[in-house]
Amino acid sequence: MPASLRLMNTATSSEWSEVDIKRYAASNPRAAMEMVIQKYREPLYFHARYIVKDHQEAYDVVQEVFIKAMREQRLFNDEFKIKAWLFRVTSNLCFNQVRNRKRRGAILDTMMKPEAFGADQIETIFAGEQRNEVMAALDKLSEDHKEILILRYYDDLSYSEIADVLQVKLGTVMSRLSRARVRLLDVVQDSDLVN
Amino acid sequence: MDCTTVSSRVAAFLDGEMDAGECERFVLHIEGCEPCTRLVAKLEAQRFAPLSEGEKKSICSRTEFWCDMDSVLDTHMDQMVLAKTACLGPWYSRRVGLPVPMIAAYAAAMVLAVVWGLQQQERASSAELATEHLGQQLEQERRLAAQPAPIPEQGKTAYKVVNYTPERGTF
Repeated sequence: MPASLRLMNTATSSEWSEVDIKRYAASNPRAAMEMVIQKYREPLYFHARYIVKDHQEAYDVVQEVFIKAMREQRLFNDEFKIKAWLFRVTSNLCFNQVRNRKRRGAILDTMMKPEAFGADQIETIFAGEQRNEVMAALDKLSEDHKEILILRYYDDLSYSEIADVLQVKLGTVMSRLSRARVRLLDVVQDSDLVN
Repeated sequence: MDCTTVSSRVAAFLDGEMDAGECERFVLHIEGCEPCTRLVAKLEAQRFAPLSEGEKKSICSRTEFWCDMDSVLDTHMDQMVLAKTACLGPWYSRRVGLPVPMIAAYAAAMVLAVVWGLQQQERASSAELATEHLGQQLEQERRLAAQPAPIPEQGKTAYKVVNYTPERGTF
């Protein structure tokens, strides 16, 4: 990656709109791809991290998503929604990862994997009683409910952005999100009763 | 608005994503419905505890954090540039999914192949004609060779005497 882009801080990258990036891609696709990476790697990492709950797995997923993006021919087409596509692919890869992990029967205590770079420090930041309780409750929900709650309340996407990611109508987002919240409430209440 | 609709729209109400008319009907219903009021209150108290911007920054702002990813993605970047150049070319380039120079090279190769093919076809047909002609000639010669030689007729001389005047007293 050129030094000029590496030195740009994330505050600058968040100001680039998809239209700007696509316009820039016409003259310099490599730089446009670097702009996409700069702009979305952080939100995608946290999205993946909330689903897979492991730093290294989330990191690898994001890397794979960008490699897929580089191979995606429509990426800089006018009608293509880059952000929605990136989040969708990230979600799919993450849920595949979680499913594979369950299939292998390896129930990893991901909080106990400090071997990756700075992983112990990252886990400290993630650790928090309330956050852990909610994340544990989220794990008991269906993939659809978990995904939509993460997109809205952790990744801070708007309803229309969520509709683009999930490729559903706005009304479906509203009803699915409401049902997910009600379901989460039931799960938390049940666990409180058990405790 | 009924209780079922309220339960399927409660998130939109709490997130401020509901339009004004629907919001009014929602409020009107929950004011007169105790279970729905309780549900809204419980969901309003729900907390998700996402990471704050400061916490996110403390994880990702270190320069080493993205180093591994940068080095891996950098190796994939050149392949991408070629593909994306094709993607951003004119309509025929985008449709085929290849860059213009590559399309031109393919087109030239195709034209050369067609021309070479036509030449080969022409050469083959002329060779075929020559073979056919030679065959016909051979056949004709074989037929001529197979015919018997003409026998000269009896009593007829083969010589013609021209201006022969016998001398007197010869007979």
